[in-house]
Amino acid sequence: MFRSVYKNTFKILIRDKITLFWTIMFVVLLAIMFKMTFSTLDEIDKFETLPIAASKEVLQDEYFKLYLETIEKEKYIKLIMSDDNNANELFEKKKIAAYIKDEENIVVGKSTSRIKETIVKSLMDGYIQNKSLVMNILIENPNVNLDEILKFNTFIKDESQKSINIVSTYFYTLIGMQAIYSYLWGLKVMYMYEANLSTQGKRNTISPINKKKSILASIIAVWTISIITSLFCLGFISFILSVDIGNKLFGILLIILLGTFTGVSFGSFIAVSNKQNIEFKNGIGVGITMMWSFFAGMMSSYIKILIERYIPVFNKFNPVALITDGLYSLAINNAGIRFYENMIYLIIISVIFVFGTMFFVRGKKYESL
Amino acid sequence: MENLIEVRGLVKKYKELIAINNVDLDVKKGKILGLLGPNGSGKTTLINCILSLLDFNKGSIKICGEEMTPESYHIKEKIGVVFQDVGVFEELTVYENIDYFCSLYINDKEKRKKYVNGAIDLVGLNDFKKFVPKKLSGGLLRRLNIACGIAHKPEIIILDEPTVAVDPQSRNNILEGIKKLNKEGATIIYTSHYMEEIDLICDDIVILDKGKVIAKGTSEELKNSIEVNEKIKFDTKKLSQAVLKEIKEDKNVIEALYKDGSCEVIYKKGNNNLLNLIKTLNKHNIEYEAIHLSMPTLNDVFLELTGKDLRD
Repeated sequence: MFRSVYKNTFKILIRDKITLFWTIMFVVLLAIMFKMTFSTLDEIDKFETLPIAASKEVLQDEYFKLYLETIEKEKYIKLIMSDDNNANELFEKKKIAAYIKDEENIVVGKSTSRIKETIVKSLMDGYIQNKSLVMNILIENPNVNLDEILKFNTFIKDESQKSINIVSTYFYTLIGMQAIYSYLWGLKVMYMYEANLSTQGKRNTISPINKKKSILASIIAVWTISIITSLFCLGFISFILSVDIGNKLFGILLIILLGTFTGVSFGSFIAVSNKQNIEFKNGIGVGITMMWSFFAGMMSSYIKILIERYIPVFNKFNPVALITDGLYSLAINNAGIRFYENMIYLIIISVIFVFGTMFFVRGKKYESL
Repeated sequence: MENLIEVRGLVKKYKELIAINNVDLDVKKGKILGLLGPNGSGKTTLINCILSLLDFNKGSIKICGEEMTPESYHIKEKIGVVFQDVGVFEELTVYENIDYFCSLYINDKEKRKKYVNGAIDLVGLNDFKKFVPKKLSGGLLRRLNIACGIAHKPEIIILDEPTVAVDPQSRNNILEGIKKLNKEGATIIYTSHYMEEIDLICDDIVILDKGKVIAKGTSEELKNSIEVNEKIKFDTKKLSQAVLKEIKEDKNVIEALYKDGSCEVIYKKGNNNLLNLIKTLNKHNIEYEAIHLSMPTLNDVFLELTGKDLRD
């Protein structure tokens, strides 16, 4: 019976074209759009090195100085040492695009284009994000060899010496969003079993099969579909759009497994936790997923850094941020503590949604239908 | 005769509203029981309580001599339900939908195949096996809904308003199918607000209004229990108030109405009602044509018991 329910649920859901569109095509289209946008940035980047001034004070931080020198070597920027007065002069003569007063205070010239401004901010975000990673590692392991970690060559390059493009993080957020989009499957499957939600639910409830077992079989079926769709999108982003997702297959698979399960359990929870119609519930799902994606840095990685800095606990319960951060830490850090911490938080969120769902479906009979 | 379903003192409240008010019900094995009542009379609520889908405040429900609970899987095996709302999967074809719901009861693949084809035959969907539901007309969709509920050959079949919004051809097909299922041994509960259907196919009838059983019995018993015995209707171009008054003065006449060239006279039980009427008309040289004589309907029963029409 378990196998039959699994097979039938799989067959029904895999033919649901609307959900397939939102979980595959929408994500693929967004990925293509991202690629096109960032390709333009790459082109500009290739031909024009950005002249950036930095204050003497900020360059006293040897690690920050090392970071700036490293990206200067890669011809992203041309570094000029300056002070506030000199910087104003250089801005007037249009000789610099930005002035880094300190890590958190970057002045951008009035004539600096939006694209150049974004590049400068992305470069700074990269530093701040990595700095936050080092701080976390230090908290977890005070005896770690800092010199090894703080070599920016290892910081921004993996063992194969391949550079990690900062724009990859946007795609990581997209993968995170796609995994949480599995909520659509979770929501739909609960409609198949709850008599107060649909006539199919009534039919299943009055049948002689154990409801808990059939829900479990169906949840496993939707989880399977979610994993397949996530892997498809990941494959598309990695192989077709050539976005670097690293080569830690075990870690990537673990992220997909946990990320999609979080999505499915989130969907089941939305389905049973309120008495609104399915359109409203879908709206809740889209709204929350979009909010999570936004705070995970889908529109600007700076948002994620701001959250990390001021309300770090928020992103600990933001599954899209956890998936993004998991992929990022995998790419730079060989699945270290930060990666596993993200995975543990994903498990905690899933467990909360599963228990929440169980709480709402625990009743044997309904008060009203 | 053995009762397959026994409901005793059932009360179901939605806050202040009493949806089911102390209902007793017996469904005899091998019979078709009709639950008749206007919309909102409590028919579907009663069915949902019997199926243990809805919680109820008081009373007991026994099926096959056992208390019905959500875990009564061995009882559930014997029941097939056709809900009022069509409950099929848009992603599956006609055949796959029936097979899906049948698979909840029948594990054996070969047996299931036979049952599914049997159900398709019964509802006349042979030409539409590979159609998806959205390609079917309203009537065909209703037939599919029925096939999904009865494919596993249940002993007890509950049909909740299965003919709502269907074309006459599908309605006949559905009613024929129900009679056939009953002949094959199924015990059936059939709810409807269409009195003609109930009258046509049901052995026993329970009339519900505002959650209460207001009458029960066979169609004959119910019709005999009311004052109205027969109705005579005739067409005439002119009928004066004096003649109408004289017709009304007959001791057996309950009511006589003349409107738009047509006169309807409702009689109590009595002999020679038609003869007396014709005598009166001839006496006044009234030319009449097309005299129709009809027996009381379930609507008359309902009208007499509640003072309102079934379709109100």
